[in-house]
Amino acid sequence: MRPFLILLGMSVAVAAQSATPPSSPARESVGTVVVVTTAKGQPVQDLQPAQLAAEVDGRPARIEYMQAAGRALAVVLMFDVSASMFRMLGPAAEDFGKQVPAALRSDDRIRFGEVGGQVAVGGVAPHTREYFSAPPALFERPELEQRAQRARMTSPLWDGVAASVAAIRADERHRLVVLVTDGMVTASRLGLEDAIWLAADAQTAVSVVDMHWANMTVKQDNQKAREEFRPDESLRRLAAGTGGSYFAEVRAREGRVRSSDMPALVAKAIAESRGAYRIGLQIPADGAPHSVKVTSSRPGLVIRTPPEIRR
Amino acid sequence: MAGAVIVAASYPGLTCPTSSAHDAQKVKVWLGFGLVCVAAGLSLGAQQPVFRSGVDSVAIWVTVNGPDGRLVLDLERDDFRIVDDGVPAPVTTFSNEIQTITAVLMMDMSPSMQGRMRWMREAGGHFVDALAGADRAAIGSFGFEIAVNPNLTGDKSVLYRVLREELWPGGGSWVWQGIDAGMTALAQEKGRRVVVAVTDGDNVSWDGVDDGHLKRRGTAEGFVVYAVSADRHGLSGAIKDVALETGGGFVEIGDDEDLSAAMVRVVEELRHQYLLGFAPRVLDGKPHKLSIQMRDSRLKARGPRSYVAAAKGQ
Repeated sequence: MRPFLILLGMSVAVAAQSATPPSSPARESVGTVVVVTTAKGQPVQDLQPAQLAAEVDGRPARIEYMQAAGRALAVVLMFDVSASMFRMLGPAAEDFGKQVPAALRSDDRIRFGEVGGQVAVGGVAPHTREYFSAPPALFERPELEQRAQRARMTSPLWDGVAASVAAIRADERHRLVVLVTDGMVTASRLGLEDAIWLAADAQTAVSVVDMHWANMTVKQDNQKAREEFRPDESLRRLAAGTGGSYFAEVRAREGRVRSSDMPALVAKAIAESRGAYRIGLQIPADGAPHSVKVTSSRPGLVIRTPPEIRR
Repeated sequence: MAGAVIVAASYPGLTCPTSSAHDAQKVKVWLGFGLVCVAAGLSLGAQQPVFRSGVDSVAIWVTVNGPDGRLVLDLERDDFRIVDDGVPAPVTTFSNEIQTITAVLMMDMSPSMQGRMRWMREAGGHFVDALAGADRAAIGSFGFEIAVNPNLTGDKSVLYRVLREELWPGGGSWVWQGIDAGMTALAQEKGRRVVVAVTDGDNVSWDGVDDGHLKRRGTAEGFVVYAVSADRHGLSGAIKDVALETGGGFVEIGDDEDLSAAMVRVVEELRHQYLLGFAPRVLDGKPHKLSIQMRDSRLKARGPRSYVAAAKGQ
């Protein structure tokens, strides 16, 4: 009889647990960013609330508010100046000075930042061609001609994203970080997922201009297998996770960089961000990530938003 | 003998003749000694004993192997004899407690190692797997860049993340610079500080940092270097020499050998070193020859070839 009694007792306990109504966490309103463009990347600035629909955790969710946010921008242009990026930025300096200031509005606030051994974000930059052609110590680093010094210039990219997000967090404009890099992160105190979460939490999109040469395939000596190293994967994940865009640089290469479309891609990242909106959604305040999907009834639009938010 | 009892209880695998003998056959391991100059009264880390002495002392970490190559874990102070510049020096401090590990794992990303990229990531993972308790490690690499991740931690999820996100093949063979960067990353740490380089040791980049520099720095500042390689050609003689001079060791693993067992053996070796202290005869800031002798002549104690006797404040 004793085993039966024990089983009976367990059954009663399970039944008691089942009878207790599950306590659902309170729901709170959380803001997130939605960037809307045409298929060609032109910002869409006249979208109406009725033209957007949202889902949270796969269920329709009411959009509590919607604000056009991308008229003026707060931007950090974060450049990877690490050893692996040596001589990849300099050739683009002149075009950068021409094209990027032309994409700015007078009420935009632009800061330059760099990742290379350490992370730094500068003050608000003037919108002049001269400044953008040679932002302080960014494109021209003569001291880095020493190979050993260059080799010590590490790539803490995710720390750079975090510093960029922090630098513009209090700005009411639509916040954008443009990361120009080859994606070969090293020595980063924070991980990729940490950076994504910090940016998404601060409603800051991170767009990426990927300048890596090519995916690296390494043949394994003894395992007769190949391993592919894909710097672009983490960069795509960063952009998608924060509602930003991913752009891949395509360059002519004859021994060294001869031309670059990096400046045009930076300008494009800035321009399309003017189609940004802030929307409010109700989610459970349980600290867990909740999936978000935003669609539009207007055909032909591209809508980017962080795929997960949490409170 | 309390330390030995703890060791045997906590690491029963070490006393298993089958596995240990098997590993000893499969993995060619030469191990040296750790040496660090410490001022008396310095705390050697959270789980390290605190030495309080009226004079400056030198602390060295010593590995002892038996005739079968296995680690010998149950020795006492009287089993060791320290010879300082040819003159016996009394063992003033002794510990056979389990040693906490503070290490930087430096991974060689250069072209000569690219065929072993997957192996290296796995080796790093096995090393992290074997950490326990208050052990801490950081992951670094040298290739396009010479980088040490700033997270010196026992949080394995962070270390696995670095191994997953921060290893990129290519660049230069900055072996000496890489090990030097590992030392710098540990410069502010107390106690035994270890740089484990996963490399073939073929340094082809030079900027004033060479193997001689590493020997001098390792001896003067008390860093211990280990080298691990799976390259079919083995390790270069220069890096073996650096490892032995600094009181570390090296491991060469063949294609068909047990990688996990080899990395665990490195960690176990570090964990079970003996800590000995002695008072140097003179504090002149110069290198002095050192040897460790065992009372039982069947045992092999391999130790630092020299130390720098620096007075307080030097």
